[in-house]
Amino acid sequence: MTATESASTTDSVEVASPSTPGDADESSPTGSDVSVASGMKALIAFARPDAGRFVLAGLLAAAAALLSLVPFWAIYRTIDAVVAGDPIRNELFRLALITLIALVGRYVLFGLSTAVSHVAAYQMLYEIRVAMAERLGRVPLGYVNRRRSGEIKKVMGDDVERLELWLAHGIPDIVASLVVAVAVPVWLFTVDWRMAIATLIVILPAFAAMAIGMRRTMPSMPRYHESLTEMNASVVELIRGMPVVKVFNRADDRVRDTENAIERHVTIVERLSRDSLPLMTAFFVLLAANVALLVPLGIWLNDRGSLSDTDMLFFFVVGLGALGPISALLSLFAHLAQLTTGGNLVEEIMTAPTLTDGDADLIPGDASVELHEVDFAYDERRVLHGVSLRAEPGTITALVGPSGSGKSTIAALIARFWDIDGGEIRVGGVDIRSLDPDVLAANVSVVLQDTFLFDDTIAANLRVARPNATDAEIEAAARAARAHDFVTAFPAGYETVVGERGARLSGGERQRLTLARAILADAPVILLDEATSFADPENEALIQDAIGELIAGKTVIMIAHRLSTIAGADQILVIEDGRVVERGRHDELVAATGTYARLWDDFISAEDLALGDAVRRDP
Amino acid sequence: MTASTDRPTHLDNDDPEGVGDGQGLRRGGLMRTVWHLAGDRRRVLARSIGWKAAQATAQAIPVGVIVLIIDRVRTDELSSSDIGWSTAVIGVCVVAQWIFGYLANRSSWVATFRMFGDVRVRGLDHLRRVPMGFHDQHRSGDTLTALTQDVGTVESFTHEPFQQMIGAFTAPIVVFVILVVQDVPMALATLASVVVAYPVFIWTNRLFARLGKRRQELQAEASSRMVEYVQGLPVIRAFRLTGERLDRFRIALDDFRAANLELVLKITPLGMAFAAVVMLGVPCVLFFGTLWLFDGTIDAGTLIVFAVLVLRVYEPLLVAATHFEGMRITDASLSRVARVFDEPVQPVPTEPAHVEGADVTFEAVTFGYDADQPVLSDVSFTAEQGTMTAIVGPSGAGKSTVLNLIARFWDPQSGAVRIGGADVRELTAEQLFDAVTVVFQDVYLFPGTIGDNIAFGSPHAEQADIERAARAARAHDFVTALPDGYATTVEEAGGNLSGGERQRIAIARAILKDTPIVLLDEATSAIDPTNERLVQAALGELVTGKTLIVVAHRLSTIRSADHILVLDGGHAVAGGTHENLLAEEGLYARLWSERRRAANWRLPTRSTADPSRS
Repeated sequence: MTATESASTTDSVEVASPSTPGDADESSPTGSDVSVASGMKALIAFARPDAGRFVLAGLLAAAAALLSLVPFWAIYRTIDAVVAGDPIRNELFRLALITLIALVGRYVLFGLSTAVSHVAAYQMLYEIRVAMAERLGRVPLGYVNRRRSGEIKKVMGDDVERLELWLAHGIPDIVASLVVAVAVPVWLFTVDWRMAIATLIVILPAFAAMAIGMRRTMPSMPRYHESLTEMNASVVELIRGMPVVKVFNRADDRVRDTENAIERHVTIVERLSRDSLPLMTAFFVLLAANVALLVPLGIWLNDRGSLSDTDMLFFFVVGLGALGPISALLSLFAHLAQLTTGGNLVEEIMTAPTLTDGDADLIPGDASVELHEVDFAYDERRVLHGVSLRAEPGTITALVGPSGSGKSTIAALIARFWDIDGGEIRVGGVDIRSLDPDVLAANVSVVLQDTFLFDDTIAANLRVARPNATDAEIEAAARAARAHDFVTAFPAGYETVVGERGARLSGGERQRLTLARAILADAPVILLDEATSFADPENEALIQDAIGELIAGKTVIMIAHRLSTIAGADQILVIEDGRVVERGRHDELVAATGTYARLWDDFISAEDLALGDAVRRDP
Repeated sequence: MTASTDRPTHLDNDDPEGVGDGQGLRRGGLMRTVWHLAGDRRRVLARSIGWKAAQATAQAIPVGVIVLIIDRVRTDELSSSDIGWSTAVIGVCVVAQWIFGYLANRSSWVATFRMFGDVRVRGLDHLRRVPMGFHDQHRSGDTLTALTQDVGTVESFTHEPFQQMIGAFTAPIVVFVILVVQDVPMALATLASVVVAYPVFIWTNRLFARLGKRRQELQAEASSRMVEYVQGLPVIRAFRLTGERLDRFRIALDDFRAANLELVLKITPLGMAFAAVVMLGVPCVLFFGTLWLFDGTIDAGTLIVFAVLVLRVYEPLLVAATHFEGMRITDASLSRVARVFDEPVQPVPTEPAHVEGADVTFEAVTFGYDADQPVLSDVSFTAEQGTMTAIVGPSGAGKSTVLNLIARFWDPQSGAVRIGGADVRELTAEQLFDAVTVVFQDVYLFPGTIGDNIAFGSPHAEQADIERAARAARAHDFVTALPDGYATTVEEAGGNLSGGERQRIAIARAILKDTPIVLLDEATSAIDPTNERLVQAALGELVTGKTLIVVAHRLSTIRSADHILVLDGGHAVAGGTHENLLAEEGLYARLWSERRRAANWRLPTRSTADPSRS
C-alpha cells in the first residue's frame, strides 16, 4: 500500500538533499505563517498558467491510488473464498485477471500523472527563472552587490531547482497518499467499526511519540545547526588559508582547532541521537503495531460471533498495511518547508524595488554630465554629501581621493546603479531618473576594472555592444583596442571561444576586449573606474593605448590612483568622506598645498621608494 | 602569489615518490568503500546491520502468526484460546522491533557520524601534506565542496538509506525462504516477476545514466548561464540584453528544460514498467495458486500463505529500488572525496638538514604543473644572502613559479632549489619556514583579532612585539583607531579595512616572524597614493638586511635590485644589474622601455590631442 510510487526514479538528482537529522529545518529560517503564505502565493502566481496540468496530474494520481487498493481486495477475496471452503475456480481466475488489469491501469495512470506534472513543473521553473532575470534587469544594479549576487545565483539555480521535487513529484505523491489515507479508513469503517478503530487507534500514540520526540530534540536543533555550520566554516577557513597556515608554521594547531570543531559536532549528533531515536523509532513501530490489537480483538469478536470470518480476514489482510500512507505523507510534508522557503526567496527577488522606467521619448541634449547637490546613503550610512560637479561635453574629469571616500559611488550613481536620496543627476540636461534605462545605457558606458566576458566567441562578445556590427566594424574596434593582433594569433581568430568569464585569455587581453566592446558601443559619456589599474602589467602600455582610443572626443569621468595619468585632466575633483574638498587643474591644486598636494607628494615619494635600498640598509 | 598568470590548472604528477601513501579511499563500489571507511567502527556498523536484520525479522513474525490464524479459521479450529499465545507473540515482536530498531539506528548513527568525522579529519591531515600549490584557489573550491558537502552526502546515505536498503533486502529474503519451505513451484512463481523485472531495472538504470549524463551537462550549462547572467548584469544591462533578450541565457534554460522532459518522458514508462512487472507477481501467484489448488498440487493452506506473504516480498524491493538514485549521487560524492585523498603528498624529511646562511640557489631547475609542459626549464641562479633579486619577464614567463618553488609550493621535476646550501626537500617544514616568509598578493586574514593575525607566525609574541611590528609596518595608527584596537576582530573591522591596510597587517605579520629570506610578489593593482606610500615604507622595513627575491613590476624596485633575473618562456635568458642589462639591449631593455612608456602615460586630453593648442 505504498502510495508513493517513487519507483519511477527520475530526476531528483541534485535535489536529493542529504537528510542529516532535522535537515528540513535548515531550509526554513523563518517558518512563520506569514512567510509560508507569501511564499506559496508567489508560487501559485507562477503555477496559474499551468493550473490545468497540475489538476490533471492530481486527478490521474488519485485514480492510480484507488487502483492500488485492488490487489489487497483481490487477495482478501481469494483468501476468503479459500477459507470458506468452496472456492469457484473461475471466480479466482477472475480475481487474478482484475488484479492484473488494475495494476496495469494503476501504473499507466501514475506514469501519465508523473509526465503531466513534470511538463508543468519544468515550464514553471523556466518561467520563474526568466521572470527573475527580467526583474534583475530592472532593479537598481547596486542591489546585486557581491554578497547578494551569491544569494541570487543560489536562488535562481539551486533553490528554484529544488522546487521541482515538490512540484513534479510532490503533487502526484501527496494526492495519491491523501486519497489512500482517506479511502482506506472509510472502507475499514464500512466493514466493521470496532475493528476499524483498532486499526487506526495506534496513530494517536505514534504521533504522540513523534511530538514528544520533536519537542525533546527541538531545543538542541539550533546547537546542531550551529555546530554543523561551525564545523564546515572551520574546514573552509583551514583549506582557504592553508598556504598561509603552512608558511607561518601553524598547521598543527590550526588542524587541531578544526578537529575539535568536528569532534564537537559529532558529540552533539550523538547526544541528539540518544535523545531522539527511542521516540522516532517508536513512531514507526507503533504505526505497524496495530496487528497486536487486531489479532486478539478479531479472534475475540469472532469467537463471540459478532464478527464474521470474512470480515475478520478482511482486517487481517487489508487492515495491516493501512497506515503505510500516513508515514509516507509525513515525509512528503517535510519537504513542504523547502517549497515555501524556495517560494519566499523567489518572492524576495520578485518584489525587489525596481527603477522607474522613465520616458522613452526623452533624449539627452548633449554629452554633458551634471551632479547637483547629490546626497546618497548606503543602508543608512551616508556616503555622499551634497556633491556637485559639471563635466562639459568632450572633457575629462578625474576623481581622486583615499579608498572609501565615495569616488566609485559617484560613478555608480551616474550609471544609475542606485537612485540618489537628494539632489539631481543630469546627463545632457535630462534627469537620469526620467530617462528610459535603455537610453541612459546607450549614452553612458561604464568600464570597470573587473572585466566581464561571456563564455562565447570573441566576435559574439564584441557584438554584444552592437548586434548588427559588420565584421569590418568588429575588426576596426579590436584594432583600436590593440586586440586585433592577439585575436588573430589564435587559430580560430575572432571565432575563438574565450572560456568562462574569459578564462582562456590573460587579464590584459580581457581588458582590451572589454575596451573594444566599449569602443563599438560608442556612448558619448565614458565612466572609467580604475580601468588603468592593471592585472597584467606587461600589457599596460597596450591597454593605455586602447583607453586613449576609447575616450577620444568623449565626456570622460575617471577614477585613478596613479595621479600622473590624470595630471592633464580638464578638472580634478578631490573627494574625501563623501564631499568634494578641492577642485581644479593639476597645477592649481599642487600649488594650493591642500589634500591633492599631499596625495601628489605621497605619489611621488612612493614612486621613489626602492626596495633594493632597504635591503642594503643595515638592520 | 596566487595571482600569477602561470597558475597550475592541472596536476599530473607521475613522480613515483609523491604518489600514494596508502591513503586512497576507494575500495571498489560504494558499499565496499563505506565498509572500508568504517575502520575501527566496522564492528559497530556490523552490529547495526545485524540489529536491522533482527528488526526486519521481528516485523515478519506477526505476519506468520496471521497466516497460522487464517489457517485455523479455514480448519474451523480458531477459538478464544488462540488469543493468548498470538497476542503474546505479536506483543513480544512489537517490543522487539522497537528495541532492535533503536539499537540499529543508534549504532548506525554513532558509527556513521564518528567515521565521517574521522574522514574529515583524515582529509584535512592529508591536505596539509599535499604540495601547497594544490591549494590554489582554482581547485580549493572543489576541495572545499568535497570535505564539506560531499562528505555530508555520503554520511547521510550511510546512516539512513544504507540501513533502509539492508532492511529492504533482508525482509524479502526471509519471507522468500519461508515460501520455498512451503512450496517450491509456488515460490518460483513468486520469484518470476522479480526475475523478469530485473533486466528492466538494469535497462532503466543504464538509460538513466546515459540521459542523466546529458541532462547533467545541460544543467551545468544552464547554471553557468545563470551565474553568468548575475555576474554580467552590469554588462547585460549596459547592452540592453536583459531577460529573454539574452539568447544564450534563454536557450540554455530551454535546452535544460527539454533535456529534463526527455529524461522524464523516457524514464517514467520504464520506471513504471519495472514496478508494474514486479507487482504482476500478485496476479501471477493468484493465477498459479488457483490453477494448482484445483489441480490438487497444493493445498488451501499453502495458497493462503502465499496470498498473505506475496506483497511482503515485492513492496520492500520497490522501496529499495527508489534508493538507487541516491546511491548514484552518493557514489559521485564519494568519488570527489576520494579524489582529495588520491592527491599525492609531498614527502618531508624526518631529520632536519644542515643549513648555513640565507643564500637561495636554483640548480638547473625544471618544473611544469604538467610534467610535459615545463613552466621553468633548466633555470639556475643564486640569490646571495642580504641581497635583492628581481625577477622580470613577459607574462607567462614563469616568474611567480620561481617563488612557488622556493617556498616548496611545488617540487621541481629535476634540478634542485637550495636554501643555505640544503635542498629544500631535505628541510623540515619548521626549518623551511623559519627561513622563508612569503608576502602574498592576496592578503589572507583569519577570523580572529588583528593582534592574533599579526602574531600568526609567532604565537608567543608579547603585545609589545606585536605593536613594534605594527609600527614598523605603518599599521599601528589605523589599528589603534579601530574600536577595540588590536583586539578588534577582522570580522568587526571588515569593511573598514582598505586593501592597503590589509596588506600592512600582512606585512606586520611577516616583520614579526622575521625570517632571513623574504619572497614577495609585487602587487599589480593600484591603491591610493597614501596607502601606496605606506605599504612601500612597510615593505622597506620588512626587507631590511634580508635576502629578498621579488617578482617586480615597479620601476624603482627593478632598478634598485642587486641582481635581475630575466625570464622568457621559462628560460633564464639574462641576468645582471639594471645597467648591465640595459647595455645588452636585449629583452630586458625592451621590457624596460615598455614599462617606462606605460609609467609615463598621460590621458590624452584635448590639450595634448590637439596640436594647435600645445
